[in-house]
Amino acid sequence: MDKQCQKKGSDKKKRVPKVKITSILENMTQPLLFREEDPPPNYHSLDDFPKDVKKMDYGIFSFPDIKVGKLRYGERKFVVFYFDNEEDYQKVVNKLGITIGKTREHPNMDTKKLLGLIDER
Amino acid sequence: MKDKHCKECGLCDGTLCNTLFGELNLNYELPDKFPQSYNGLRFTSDAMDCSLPIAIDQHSGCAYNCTYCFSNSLQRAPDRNPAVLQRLIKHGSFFNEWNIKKLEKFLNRELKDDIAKAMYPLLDQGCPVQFGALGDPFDDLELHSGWAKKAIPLFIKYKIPVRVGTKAGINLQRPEYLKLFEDSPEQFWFAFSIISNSDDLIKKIDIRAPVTSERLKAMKLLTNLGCKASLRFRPFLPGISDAYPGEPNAWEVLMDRCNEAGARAVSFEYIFLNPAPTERQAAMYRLMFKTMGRPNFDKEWGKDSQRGVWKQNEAGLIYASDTGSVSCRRASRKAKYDITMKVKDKALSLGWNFGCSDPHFKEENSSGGCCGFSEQDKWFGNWSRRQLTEVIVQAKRAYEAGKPRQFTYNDWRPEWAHKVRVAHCISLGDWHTHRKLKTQTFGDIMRKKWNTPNHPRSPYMYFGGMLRPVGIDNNSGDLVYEYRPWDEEYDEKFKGE
Repeated sequence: MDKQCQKKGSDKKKRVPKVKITSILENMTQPLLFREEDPPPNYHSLDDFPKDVKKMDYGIFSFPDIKVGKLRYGERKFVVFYFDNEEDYQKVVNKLGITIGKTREHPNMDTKKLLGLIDER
Repeated sequence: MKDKHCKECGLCDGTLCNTLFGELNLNYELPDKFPQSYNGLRFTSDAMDCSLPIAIDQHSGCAYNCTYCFSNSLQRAPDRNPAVLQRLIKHGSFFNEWNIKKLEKFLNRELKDDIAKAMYPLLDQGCPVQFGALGDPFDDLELHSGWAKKAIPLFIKYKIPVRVGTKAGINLQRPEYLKLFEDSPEQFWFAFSIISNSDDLIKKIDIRAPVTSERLKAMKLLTNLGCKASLRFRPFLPGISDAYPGEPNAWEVLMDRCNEAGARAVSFEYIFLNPAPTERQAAMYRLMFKTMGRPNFDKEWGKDSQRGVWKQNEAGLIYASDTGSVSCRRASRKAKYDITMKVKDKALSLGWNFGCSDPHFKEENSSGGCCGFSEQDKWFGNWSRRQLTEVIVQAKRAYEAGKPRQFTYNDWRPEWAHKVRVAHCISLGDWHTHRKLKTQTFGDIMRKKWNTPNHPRSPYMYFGGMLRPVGIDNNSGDLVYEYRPWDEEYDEKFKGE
């Protein structure tokens, strides 16, 4: 009995994908973290890098090709749903093929599929 | 409960505590030891244009209740953060404390978290730290805990220049505190926050803080020791700071008194109002407006604001109708021009440095920070140049020298900001915002603001049009800005749209 319990416990431990989660987090955050190999930063002065300035021939507040940071999260529209019943939640999640249960979000969800489902109705 | 304490306190008409204390069963006595759960080390959220990005506070709050305090707009305010009241209920204390052992670990470069690691190069290059950024480091909480008594010798041991922000006129006169600085006084710069020459007026505004004359006594004692000091003349309040009945030149008299007490710089800023104050904050504003002799200041302010109109709802709360995400409601440059130039001229005539923390007229600063440090100062001359105040000051100098200089993001990009997450510097408010920004660094946000001129914190909007976007740099893809001089008519053209 004890052995079984121990075995079950050890199996359970194996099932928890600790390593995977850690590696996912590391991959997500790696570019942001401090790296020992980085050269010492300069805080004593401003730089004056060579510039190739493209003059703007349109209004100063319309920049179709402007860079706004490394990532463009703010530019993507999103919708959040709240479910009162777990069953309803599972039904929608399964229908849309959302496989990430931990974060309950799907950054790469197939928008075409969603629109297709709506159009079917 | 409320009425009982109101009678004991007598500092206001009951409006200040109304929302905050409500029906809670409060224990006003401080615990023997504050819970050691506060993280007092952070990068200031103002670091985009601040020369001292490292900020240290030993407590999660402050014993002084100043009516204009900007920390009332932050998550540390009890009426904005339920966790503060939860702490009170669970631990019997409004305040928690940063463990002093962590300070020594930090100064000894032993902390290994990303924030501390990003700070070490700044320390190594001699950048001063702010001590007392969100609360007063020498207030009565300090008297209770004695944290600073242990911290000052550590700053001296590790040779860290410290800029203290304080109003603690009485506690800093105590011999046991003065003695702390004797070993290396020139390593400490005291920015004394004083906004009125009048003791009577200031005690109605800086509730529970020592009055002006006490702060000046402390300034005198500290400068006699060899410490450096400056006048933190902010927020400048009409009716309190400029003049009041019987003293038409109160601002000038105050500067003269500070000069006699050994001040060598001024850091100036005109009042800004929060466009969405909490009920408690709005009550504090009302108290402030009343003391200013301008009970309808919020409405008057609308006339001079750059955008939108101030309105008052049925509950008497002031708000801005179309401010969007503007977090600081400021007057136009034109409205502030005369008094700002008078303060600047007076400072220069006294041989002081002029610093302006108001984004309007920052280009007038004596150096690339708003503390008023000198570039030649052995201890305080190594402030971080990688910020926008340095950019606008250098841009103006270059323009006036006949060699206009163009700036793009990489010219001032602060490396540390690209090593810390945005949530470490700014309260993201809600979970959805947090989720959107969780993989972005504070530097990403800075760059985004640089490249979005209609953002309230873009160089163009923030400085009131003094830095103007002139093109896109093909090498980096970022916007390029140039300095342009200002004239009084410019406000009419500057719509910020």
